Amino acid sequence: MPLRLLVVDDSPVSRVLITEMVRDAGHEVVAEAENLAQTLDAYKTHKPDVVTLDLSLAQEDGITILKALRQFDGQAKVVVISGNSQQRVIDIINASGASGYLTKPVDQDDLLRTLARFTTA
Amino acid sequence: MSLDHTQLPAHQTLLKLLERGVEQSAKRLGRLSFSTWRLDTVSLSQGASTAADELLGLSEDQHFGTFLGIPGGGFLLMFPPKSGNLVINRFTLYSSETVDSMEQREPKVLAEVSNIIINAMVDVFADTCGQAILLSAPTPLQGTKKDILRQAREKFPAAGRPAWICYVRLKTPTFASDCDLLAFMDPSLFDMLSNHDKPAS
Repeated sequence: MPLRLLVVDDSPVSRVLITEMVRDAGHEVVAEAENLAQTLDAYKTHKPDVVTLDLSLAQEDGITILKALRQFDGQAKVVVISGNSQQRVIDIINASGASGYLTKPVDQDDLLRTLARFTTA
Repeated sequence: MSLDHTQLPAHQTLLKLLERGVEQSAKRLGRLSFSTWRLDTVSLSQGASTAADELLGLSEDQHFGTFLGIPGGGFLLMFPPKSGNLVINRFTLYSSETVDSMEQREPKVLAEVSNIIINAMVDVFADTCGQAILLSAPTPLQGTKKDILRQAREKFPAAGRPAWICYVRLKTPTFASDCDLLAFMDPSLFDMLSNHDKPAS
């Protein structure tokens, strides 16, 4: 079953790379966002199956956005995709309700394998 | 590899930590550019007149730079056009023309590349010190090395100049090129990183 995704990343390059990787598997990126306000607007409008979320953003950090998304929708599926792989940060995002974590540069197989968990859920 | 180790134990501790961090950055740069990068030079200097200034002042060529901040510090990664473009082409190898046709493609791609590379180094600092450290979003900079260094210093959050600068040069035999990395530290960050092996008092 194809998924509908919201990609949250302030790097246009990263958004393009993620979009192309998931499109290869038939998934669709329904919206992109760079900050908290855009993310919540896009989430409410498009109700995506999965959100991919970077941590280092120009305005709010990704942990703030993750917590806000989960507060808005306790069932939100959020996969963090970040260059940051610190143990304390991973502990925080797990405790904040992230559904997955991938380290940049993200491997397409790893990304699609992670998303596959949500297609059968 | 040349090492400018000072004799003070705190400096040696910090240099070892920096080297571990740089090794991880080099591995990640290798992974995203399908090439091998090696640590060529590491030096640590204090104050306004630094070895980094002298090294960076040698080139009048235009470079691509990216600055990323952390509390009490910052990082600057600089690529000359040749290696910058080779890294860009390899990093976006499997992407469509969307990235190729992007406005300001080079600085945008290298900002994302720098974000990924510097995070590997910061991960080592954070895990060693038992902290969670989030990098700021990357800021692309362009100009000669001297211009970029001046712009980065203006972005450094501490008043005046940073207390310490670590200069690193990475080289790749894969396409005979290099890049420069600078880490800026204020006294509090320097103390945290150079005393991580000491029990808290």
